Amino acid sequence: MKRVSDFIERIEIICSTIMMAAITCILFTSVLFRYFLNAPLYWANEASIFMMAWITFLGGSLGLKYHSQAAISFIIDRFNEWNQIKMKIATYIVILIALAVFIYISYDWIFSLTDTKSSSMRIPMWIPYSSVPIGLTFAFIHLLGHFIDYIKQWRRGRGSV
Amino acid sequence: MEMFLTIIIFIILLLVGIPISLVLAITAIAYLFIVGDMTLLTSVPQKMFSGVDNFGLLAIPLFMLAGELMNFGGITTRLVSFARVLIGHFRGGLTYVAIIANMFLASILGSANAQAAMMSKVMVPEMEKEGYDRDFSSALTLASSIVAPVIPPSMLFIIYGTLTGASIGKLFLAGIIPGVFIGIGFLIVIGFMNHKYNFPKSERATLKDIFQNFLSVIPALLIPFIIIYGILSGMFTPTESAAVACIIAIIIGFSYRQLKAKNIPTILKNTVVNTATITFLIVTANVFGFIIAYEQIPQTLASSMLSLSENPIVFLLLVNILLLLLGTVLDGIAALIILVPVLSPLLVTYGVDPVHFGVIITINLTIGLLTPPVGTGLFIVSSIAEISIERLVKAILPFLVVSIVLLLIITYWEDIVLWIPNMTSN
Repeated sequence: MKRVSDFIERIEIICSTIMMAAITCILFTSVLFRYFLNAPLYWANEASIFMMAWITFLGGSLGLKYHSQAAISFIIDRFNEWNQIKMKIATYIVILIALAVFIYISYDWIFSLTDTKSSSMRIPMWIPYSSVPIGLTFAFIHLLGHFIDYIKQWRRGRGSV
Repeated sequence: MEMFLTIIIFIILLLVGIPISLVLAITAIAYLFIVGDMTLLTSVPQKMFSGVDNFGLLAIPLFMLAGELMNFGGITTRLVSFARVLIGHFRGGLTYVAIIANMFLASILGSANAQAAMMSKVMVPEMEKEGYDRDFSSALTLASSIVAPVIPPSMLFIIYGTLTGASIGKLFLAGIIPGVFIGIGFLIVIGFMNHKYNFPKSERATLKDIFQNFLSVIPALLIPFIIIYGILSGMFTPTESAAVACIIAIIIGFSYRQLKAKNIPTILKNTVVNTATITFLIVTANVFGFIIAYEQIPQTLASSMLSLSENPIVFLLLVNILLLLLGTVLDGIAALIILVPVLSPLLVTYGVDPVHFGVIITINLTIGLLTPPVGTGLFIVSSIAEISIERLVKAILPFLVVSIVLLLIITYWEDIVLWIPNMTSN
């Protein structure tokens, strides 16, 4: 599981950093075009917003992998290590079940889309919308990786008691 | 009954240490299951997407990127040494330098956490070298970093603007005076401390030194100039000004010869992950908004608040207290994203200006970064400066008191906040 999670991490980093660089260049160019050539790039804003959606869901999934998302941890930090692991296992079960529900409804949504197109670029809306199910699926895999780690720690801990 | 159950679930999930973004999402679907509204459940993914479908929000990754680029480009050291040659020779010079450099940096960065990290890395060792004690140096650096989200650009203003529809440009302008005001407030307090403790001073810099240092910071100070000028003249939106700031930051970084091409992937990755922690929270909070709308929480809150008092002063005081209390346990950005949709409908009822309110809530929640048990600023500085949280908290207390006093002044003196935005709109 860890190998899968690490592989996905690489893909997420590559895709999201390229999009981040692209957003910067596109918006800067669009300012130049509007001011100096008087020809605004009509697609610039929409393209940037769609890429930000992808960054949000891919980056959000990375943030969950890195444990870098804000959480209230000062209570659980007071537990001893053994209880922390048990607590983590319990919370991960809740999180994984909830994520599974989210993933199910978001794929359901993507597959039931009629062929709507975006307003300025006229690209099919499943392209930006897919960021939701794909980001959540990746997040699920990362968190499943954490979960398996905790289970392993718990087993080892139980063996040594 | 449904609401009661939902609140219990929310609090439990929060206290067991689940990331706040997931807490919001899980609570929302739990609620939809409890009330049994399956049609609404199927619209959850669409609702998530629409949370980021906003041009204003793009300013977050772009200002984040500009900050990272500036950081790698060695901006902090330059700003500190510039402030130092200017005022370092006064008694307690470095204490003023810490505040002034923080104010300069605030006009480039939009996040107190990022700024506290960058400043404490440079400032604390410098101050220790000159004989200040580490507790005091860390506390001063951290406390003065609260101007970061008040002086434009500001992540909190961008988020507040996108959540309420208030103009981000106006919020940026409204932050200038309060930000400078907080800086001056700290300078005065430090002045008094100087009398008492007889702080050390550095040697006076030569005019040549001053000039050279000035030259090296000019390009960096172009960034705040461009942001403000762009907004005032209507030449570009805050989002576009952020994109321009990034390009300038790249040019400056390379011309200072400190930013290397090999740094770029790391910079982009940091930007993406830091951005997503904010925008992902906005996405899940948007789903959480179902509950707020369904249960008509703002309306209920408004009627119970009105029965308490119809006076806006009392309302603002209650908000101040509520936010300071919540700020002790909740991360500032998370608190902002959760609370703004609940509180902003009350503004019309009490006749509070939304831009003024944005400034109040921002300062309020930024002070929360300095308060235990959960103060992100405390965690960051204590790990960088290697001092214990307890000692840092003790040293920061006087600054905390001053910040709260300044907050109250800004809360009740609307004109000081709205002066610049009103001047430009007329």
